[in-house]
Amino acid sequence: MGKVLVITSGKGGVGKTTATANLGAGLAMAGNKVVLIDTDIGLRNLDLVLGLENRIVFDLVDVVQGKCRSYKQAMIKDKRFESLFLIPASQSKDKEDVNPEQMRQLCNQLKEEFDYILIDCPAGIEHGFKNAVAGAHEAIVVTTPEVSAVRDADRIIGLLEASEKYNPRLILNRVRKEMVRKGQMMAIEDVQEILNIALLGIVPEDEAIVVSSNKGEPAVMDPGSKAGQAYRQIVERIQNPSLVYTPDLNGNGSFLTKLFKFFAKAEA
Amino acid sequence: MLDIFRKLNWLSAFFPKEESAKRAKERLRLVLIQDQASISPGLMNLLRDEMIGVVSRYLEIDSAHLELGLERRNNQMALAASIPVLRVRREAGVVPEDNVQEEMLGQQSPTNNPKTADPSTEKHYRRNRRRYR
Repeated sequence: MGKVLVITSGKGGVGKTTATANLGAGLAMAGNKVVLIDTDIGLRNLDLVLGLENRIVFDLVDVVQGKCRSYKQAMIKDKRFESLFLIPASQSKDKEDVNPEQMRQLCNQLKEEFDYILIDCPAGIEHGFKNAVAGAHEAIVVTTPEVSAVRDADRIIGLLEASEKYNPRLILNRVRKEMVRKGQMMAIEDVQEILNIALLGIVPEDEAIVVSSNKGEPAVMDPGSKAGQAYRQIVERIQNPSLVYTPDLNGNGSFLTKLFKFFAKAEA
Repeated sequence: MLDIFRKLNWLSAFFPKEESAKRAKERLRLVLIQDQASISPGLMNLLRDEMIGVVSRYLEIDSAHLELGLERRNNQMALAASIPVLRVRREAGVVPEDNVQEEMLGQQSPTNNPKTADPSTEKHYRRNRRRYR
């Protein structure tokens, strides 16, 4: 029986699609059979990030409306990984062409065949969000350390609980350690304190992410990318939920900050 | 003119910049209290109707001009009600005793009063608030 995870955020542009592509590729690299569903109807992008944009024939709306024989006909096989598949969103149709019940049925079918079903949720809290979460067991909330993104993440966490998706886990994306150190960006513990949910991982800001989406190759495959490394660690934690994540907060900082911290501790 | 600023830029190294992350966190904390306190109109109407029921046992009120809403006061949410009173019901003392006593007890109990509640309640409130949306 496969697991259905929805990747959501509320706010747009925080890295949901990039996260979905990287987690999907990472889980496939680890030997799982994975299918990604892009539910952002009208604004599909997961295909582009994965470099599969030229292979689309059928899409999600065709699948749920029975316009192709089964999901198998719409599914695109990844170029690099044998066990990674994508069901793309439609670019020309309406969000209303899919409903939550259809998504639940599709997820139920898919989990018989796949180990992981990752659903890339559209931004916002309307129809598309409801479709995306309908069939999911668990939710991953992506946010960045910015006020607008954190506020929207809080709203999404509330809505997830309202639709009985409890215990969502957080990916804090685009963290700039240097800014955090200077007190110019909210630290991991600040965001965690505000949102009050379990942390699944931290992804540093990384130029390699732009380069990798330029090429249509997820950064998780790039051994030199810091963000890719972070995604590989997150993939480990998804596969093994007993790995509790406690970020090493003292490890990053200059010699002086460490010294200050040392004295602060000694005083306390 | 810009050149002068650019040349003086190195001076800024001596003046520590404001730690904007702290402000971000504080602003977020406040705005989230407000966001999470938004009750759906349906629930608010239910609360309103029940309140009218209770208050009407003691006072004759102008329910058409009743105002009820959540307000932010000193980093806390408060339920604020403005209820125009037309007349005190003299017979209020003889309404069914059981109900009256229960409600009075409820009001006096310290845990029901947000002002006397301890600060840790806020987090508890935040956590539970989500379930009601």
